[in-house]
Amino acid sequence: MRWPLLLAGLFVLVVFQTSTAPAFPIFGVGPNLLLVVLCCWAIVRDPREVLVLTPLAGIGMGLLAYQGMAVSVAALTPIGLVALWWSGRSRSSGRDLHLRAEPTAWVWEWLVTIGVIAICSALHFIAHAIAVELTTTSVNWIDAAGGVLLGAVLGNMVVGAVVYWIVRLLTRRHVLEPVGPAEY
Amino acid sequence: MGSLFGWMGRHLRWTLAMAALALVLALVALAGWAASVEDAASSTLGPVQRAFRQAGEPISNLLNEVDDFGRLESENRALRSRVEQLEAENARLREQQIQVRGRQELLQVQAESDAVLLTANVITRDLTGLRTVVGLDRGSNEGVRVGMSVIAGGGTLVGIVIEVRPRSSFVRLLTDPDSAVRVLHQQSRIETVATGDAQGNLDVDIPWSAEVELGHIFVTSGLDGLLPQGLPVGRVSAAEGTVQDAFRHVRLQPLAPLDQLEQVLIQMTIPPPELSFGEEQAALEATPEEGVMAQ
Repeated sequence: MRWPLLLAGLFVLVVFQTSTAPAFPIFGVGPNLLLVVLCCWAIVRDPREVLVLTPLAGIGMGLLAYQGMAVSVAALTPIGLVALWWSGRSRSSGRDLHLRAEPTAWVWEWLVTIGVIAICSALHFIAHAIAVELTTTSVNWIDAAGGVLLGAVLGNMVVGAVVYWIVRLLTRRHVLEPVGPAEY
Repeated sequence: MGSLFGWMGRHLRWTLAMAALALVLALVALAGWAASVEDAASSTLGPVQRAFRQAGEPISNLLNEVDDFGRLESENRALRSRVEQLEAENARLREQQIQVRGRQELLQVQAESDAVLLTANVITRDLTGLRTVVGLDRGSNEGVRVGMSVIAGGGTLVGIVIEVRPRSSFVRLLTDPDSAVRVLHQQSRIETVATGDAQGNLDVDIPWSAEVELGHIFVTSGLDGLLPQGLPVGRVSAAEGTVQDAFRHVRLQPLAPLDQLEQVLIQMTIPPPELSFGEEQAALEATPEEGVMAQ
């Protein structure tokens, strides 16, 4: 039952991102809720879920948002790598035990999530900017960095600061379960 | 660095799989197969996206109202729409008046313009912030072709169709960095090119002899053979430069509400830029302000 729910949720997120998100600009740029949720998912949940959802999200965005499926998939790939990195780190440090024993460890995880969102937002922007540079017109990188990139990163961080707790709340049981297998 | 490579090596399978997927999708796109799939997806899910947009609109409006210290969004929209209509009407009347003055010797009965306009809904926007392109729910099945002009409800130019699929099409807005439209300064009749930039502005460089002032209107020149003549494009919002410069750099405020487009008109034919005898006489006798009042 978990996978149909995840896929349905992903579908709703993609449609929301391509239709409604631009109407809610933060710092002048519509936040990328899809990217934010996937980043939170990568930190909080079983990494196998993100490894499946990430390419599907890229394909969905490519299909509905006129930005190319290949570049959309490539732009979201860092999130999968983050999930693998974090799960490996958690396994070696016993993060779940910490989370159970010290709820304040969630604050640390929250800060890490916001940092991951910032990095993934920047990489997402750079991937799309390179695609635009290669396929259509030259990008004024300085202007784009000062306007679009900064707004996108800050806006996504603000949204992520809230979304993390929603994902964490939805995933309370997960901290009592073992994380995924060692290799993917 | 070694640990980074070690970490990447451990997850090489995932990285390679994603790279392979991206490569396959790029090849599919290059082969032209992706367009039909994207077209089918966007036309199938277009109603769902519209429903989402409409569902989110009240919340968006509420936030906007809070942001504007309680000003009613609906009133704001109505006023903007009205101002746009009046400005477009004013510009059209001024354009008619000027054209008539230049053609007094040629007064004769002309056939009325028979431009065919097709309504279209905006179904998507470029989300990267690097381009200003919107997707419409009309495509080649309805006769839409690349190069057709797209106008807003007030008759102001929005952009040009750059890509057409069977059931959808994509429009490059005036403010896109790749956009270049030949325009005419209404007062001086000097022609120049209006270009977009990465910040969503619309700029022209025009000789100093043009005597451009704030509020002046630029319209399409029609000399490129692609766009109809006289479509209002933008109003001068700023001008800079010194007399030592060869050209004056002028910034235009697009007359069409490019960030609030929901429905647009695709101009399927370019009408001949001619006026009937009665219209020319009326335009000669009426000042633009009177024309607007009469409206």
